[in-house]
Amino acid sequence: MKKTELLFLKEDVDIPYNWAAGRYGSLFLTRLRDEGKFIGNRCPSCGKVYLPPRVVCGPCFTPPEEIVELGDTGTLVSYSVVNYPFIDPETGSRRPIPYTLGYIRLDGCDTYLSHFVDETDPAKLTPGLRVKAVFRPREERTGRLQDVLHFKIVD
Amino acid sequence: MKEVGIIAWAHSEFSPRNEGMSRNELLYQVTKKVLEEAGMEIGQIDMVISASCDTVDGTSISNAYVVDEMGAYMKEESKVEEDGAYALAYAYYRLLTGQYNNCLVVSHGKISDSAPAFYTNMSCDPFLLRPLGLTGESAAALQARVYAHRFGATEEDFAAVAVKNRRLGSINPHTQLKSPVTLEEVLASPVVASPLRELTTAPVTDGAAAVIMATGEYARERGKDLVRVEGIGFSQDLYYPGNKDLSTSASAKAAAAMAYREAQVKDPLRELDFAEITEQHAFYELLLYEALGWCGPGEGRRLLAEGVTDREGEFPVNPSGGALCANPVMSAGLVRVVECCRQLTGTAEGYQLPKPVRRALAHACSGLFLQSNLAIILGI
Ligand SMILES: [Zn+2]
Repeated sequence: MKKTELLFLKEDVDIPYNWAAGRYGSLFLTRLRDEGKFIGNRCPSCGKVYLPPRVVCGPCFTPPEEIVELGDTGTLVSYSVVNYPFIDPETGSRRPIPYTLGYIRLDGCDTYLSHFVDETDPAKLTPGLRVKAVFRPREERTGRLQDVLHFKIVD
Repeated sequence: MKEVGIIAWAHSEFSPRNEGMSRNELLYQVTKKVLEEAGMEIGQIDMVISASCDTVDGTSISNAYVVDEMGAYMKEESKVEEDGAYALAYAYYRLLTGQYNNCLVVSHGKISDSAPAFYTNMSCDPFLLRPLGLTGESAAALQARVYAHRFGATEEDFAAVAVKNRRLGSINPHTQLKSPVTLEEVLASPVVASPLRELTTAPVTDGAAAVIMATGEYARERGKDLVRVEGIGFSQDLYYPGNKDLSTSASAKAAAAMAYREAQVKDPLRELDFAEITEQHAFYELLLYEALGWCGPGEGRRLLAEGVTDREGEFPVNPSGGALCANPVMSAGLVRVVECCRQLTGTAEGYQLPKPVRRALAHACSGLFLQSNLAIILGI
């Protein structure tokens, strides 16, 4: 039997969404945009401070209603120097590699924020380093997590 | 409780890119194969429970697209958007009702039609994680660092898992990566996302798997051996990774505890003979030894180094080579079940464990950061 030529259908699906940030999400993002400040919320039941603020404390199933203002410094809990390409939704093109992803525990909160760290030299990275948020200039901020450009090491 | 188990099993060939087959062809092939194994016709199947992922398949409610191929025409069919092992759990509970004799469980994922990074990034929160480009690899890398930092584990410890599993996979004719690797090769392989390297990360795999579940009465009527399900447990952890302890997996612990309770297992290392777990990254295996209750926190590497979990050890883990040798998306966990069935029935030709085996644990997981875990105790 003659070998069938195998065909493929290429499709790039654009999925339109207009995600509602809700009350807590909007509060977090507007304060980030307008004041360059991080807002978390505290669970009245277990005392845990969430950043970003959550609708509910999962283990307690209680809304963390108390708003807590946090500073822009914290501790690097984990990191990874990433070596594979990723299409940056900001630019629509590949982010240059390597780049570093980190988990940052901001001072005064109990959870970790994921963000970029402005250092790709493995010799200069270790858990426990002190880091500080670097914001975009006020006029470039649009109310998204990306209003924070990255965290830089301040040790 | 009613006796329910597995009477037949099959999986497709595993390859990084099955260019010759559409997803429908892949699914028809595995469904035919499992029916042949059971000596059954499709008309004898009472119901079908499938497992697939809409993002991987590129269509919403993607099971609707493959109803014909999985033989579900005019049958009860429902879908689980998780690994096929979760579909098996669903089938198990339905069969316990006594309303059915049997169930076909089938899972598929043709990831090469899409891209692994796309599908894992799509599972991320669009506000907080997706814009950072977080994917399965970078998420696992962040977790690996937390684990390594807490317990002083090293890249060599992770590499040793890959060396064991690739060596075991090299004698398994069914798996994808059949070549052993040395510690030096693993440590010299390219860094994907530090501290993860190419050879400590599972390969990309297209594949499908299927099992036929039945009640004990039905299996006896048909003269089929039954691999009994003795206990099942599963559990979900919080979604956002920054809100939980990533040096372990609380949901894996909870899943195992539930399965052990149901199967009345008090000392898993003594009462079970081996296990097949979904270690999509080498460090998962060490973390899961601990979470599944086989050693204390941080002791996973000791268990490995002492040879306890090797082929000749007292508690072999992943005698098939595990997910580091073949990682079919949405089927990796169900394939762990298939591999347990082969060992338990003495049909793991070429890689049958040297000691007699009667009872095993199969583990599946789902989501980033080991968010959801499932444990099944199987026995003969
Ligand atoms: Zn709470």
